[in-house]
Amino acid sequence: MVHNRTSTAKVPLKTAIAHGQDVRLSSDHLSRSNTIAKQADIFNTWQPRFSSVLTTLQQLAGATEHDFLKIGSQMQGIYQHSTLLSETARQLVEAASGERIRTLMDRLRQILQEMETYLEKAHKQNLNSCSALEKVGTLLIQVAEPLAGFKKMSKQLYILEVSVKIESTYLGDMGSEFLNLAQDIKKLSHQIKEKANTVHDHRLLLSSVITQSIADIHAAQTYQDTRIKAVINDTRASLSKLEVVNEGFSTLGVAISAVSEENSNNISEIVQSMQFHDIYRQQLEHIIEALEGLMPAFSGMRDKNSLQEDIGQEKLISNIGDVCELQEAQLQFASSELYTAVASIVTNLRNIGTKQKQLGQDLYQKTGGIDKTSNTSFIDDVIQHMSSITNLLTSCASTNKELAGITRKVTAAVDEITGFVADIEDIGHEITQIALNSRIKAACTGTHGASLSALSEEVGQLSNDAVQSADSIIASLTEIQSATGKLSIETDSNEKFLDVAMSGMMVELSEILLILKNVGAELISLLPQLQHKVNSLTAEIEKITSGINVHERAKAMADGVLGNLQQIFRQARELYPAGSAFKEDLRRMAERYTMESERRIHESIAKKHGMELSINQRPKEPNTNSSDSEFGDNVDLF
Amino acid sequence: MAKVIMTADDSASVRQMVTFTLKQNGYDVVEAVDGRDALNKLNAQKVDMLLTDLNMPNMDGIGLIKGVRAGALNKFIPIVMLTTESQDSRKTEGKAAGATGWIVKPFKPEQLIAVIKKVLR
Repeated sequence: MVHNRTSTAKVPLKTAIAHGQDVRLSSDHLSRSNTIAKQADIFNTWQPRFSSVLTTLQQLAGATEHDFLKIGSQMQGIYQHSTLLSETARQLVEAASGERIRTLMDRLRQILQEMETYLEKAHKQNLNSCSALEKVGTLLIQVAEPLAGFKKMSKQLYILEVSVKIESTYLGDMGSEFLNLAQDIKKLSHQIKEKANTVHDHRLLLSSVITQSIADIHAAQTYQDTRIKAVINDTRASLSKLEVVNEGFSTLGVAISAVSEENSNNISEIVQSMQFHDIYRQQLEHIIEALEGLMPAFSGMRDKNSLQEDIGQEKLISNIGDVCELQEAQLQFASSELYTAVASIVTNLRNIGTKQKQLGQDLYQKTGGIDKTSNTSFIDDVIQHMSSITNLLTSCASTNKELAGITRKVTAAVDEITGFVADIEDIGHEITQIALNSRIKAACTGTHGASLSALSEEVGQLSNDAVQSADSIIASLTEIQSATGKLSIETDSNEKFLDVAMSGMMVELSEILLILKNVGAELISLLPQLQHKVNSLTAEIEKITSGINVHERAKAMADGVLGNLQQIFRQARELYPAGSAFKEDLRRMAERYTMESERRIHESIAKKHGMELSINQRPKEPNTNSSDSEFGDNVDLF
Repeated sequence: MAKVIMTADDSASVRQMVTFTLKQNGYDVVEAVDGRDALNKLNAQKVDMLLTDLNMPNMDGIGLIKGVRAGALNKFIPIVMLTTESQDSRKTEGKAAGATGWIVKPFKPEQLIAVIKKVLR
């Protein structure tokens, strides 16, 4: 408004100029005029910015759903794969370290102990047998001397027989009976000689067999002792190694459960973060609603270039500044929340991948006994060693059987020898009888039979010697029979016991080794599969997470909007700093908020401008249901 | 037999996460895209529980609750709001309409399951 030069009435400047009136402008007026022009220039830059802001925000509100749905779908896939992986790992661990394996290992240890006991017993038995056989050998040697006596005796009998023949010829007819006698002696001495030779041969053979058997048994025993000690030590070492691996798998079982729990926690975090899409969308809607409320103001501002309406202009510009400042803060917060939520999703997905990868590495490390190139496992070592022991046991059993056989042979041979010696004894008795008869006959012939009587006496003596020698040999043989009999009983008894024990042990061992072999095969088969799945899953997660960029895109768009809003409200504040109307604006705008976070931002802006503004909230009613607190602060049960 | 829970929300990503959470815990799920869709389905099918958002097009959560409580088939089922709103006035409104509980987003899956187990007991 200006003063007309010709009057004091005020008229609008435009009207004055239109009527060609002469106007007078004060310096104050000029200054305000310049301000309005400047405001108009600034305002003209706001409208396109504002349109751009609204357009971008509306795009943002609908731009992210597809990405979130894709992430949700991918997350579910990853969750399923990781759950399957954990389950497979658990089964593998159970196979390698479960109660069944532990029981089998304990039983293997027991069987190993039983084998040691068996081998010790067999060893002791063999030593006893060798001692007994050595004793038999010694006794057989003792028999040699009296046996040699038989041969000598036989020769002497032959000489006597010849002497009897000669002397009997001197007797003429009376000597004919003595000739018969000589024939008998000859025949019997031959028999003694033959029997003695037979006994001698049998004895030699038996001695040889015994000597050889003792040597063989000692050799076998020495070999077995050396091998057995080595194999049992190796087997114990393998079993210990198996126990260590078993223990490692048990620890791994705990780790698998921990990884499953962590996966669940990661998924829980992801599900929670995914909801920020909906929260973000609603925050954007509220911001859009607030900014759209300014559109009429922009329409109004087009006409407000006149000085009369500069107070309204100030109000509008202040209002625009207030709204833009507030919505800028809300958008800043919303954008930050969304970015953080998506970053959290990526982090949690990567955590799942990392944990599974670590689990796969731990599994491989724990199964260090598996030779990937030769496809053997630590269980194969145990199986091999147990097989070696089994072979040694079989060898021991053979030795034992052999010994039992030898004992039986010796017993049979001794019985045979005893028979021959008994025959010799009988022959001796027979010769004694003949000698007695011939003495009687010699006595009957008178003095002519004196020499025959002496010969008869000599024959009688020899036959007594033969009987005594035979008795001596029989005594030795009886001792041998006793020893061999005892040995035979022991070896037979031991053979039966060890057979039963061994066969039971072998059957059980075969079953256990078969189970272990199957477990080993299962491990060799499963581990590479598991590793492959782990690698696939981690690669998949890496691919998915590196492709998630919705938060970057949204942030870029939001940053553009924020820049525009900041420029607008800063310019507005430069023109008209926040005034008393701001508080009213703040109260009015608070009504549209539905979220606690929005209300907090609102209050912080108010505080920034030195206003304490507590968004109207009725005091929270006391929660009569005390169990609700167990669900969290964001849960109410009515 | 598995319990059947309906989830009504205009946000597909929220429905996706709620369905995933419920199915992982052994529940069968029926989805609805807004209040009207939910009410139509509830008038035709028996469910054991309803989880509903508050702000939805066509029919909001309050309207849905009132419709369910006025109906016959699912009149007495527990209904829990799953919403971003946390104002006490709104909670009071929900409770008056017939809601059983109120959960403010973002929720943790274990929270949701714990609440469901409690109200279904």
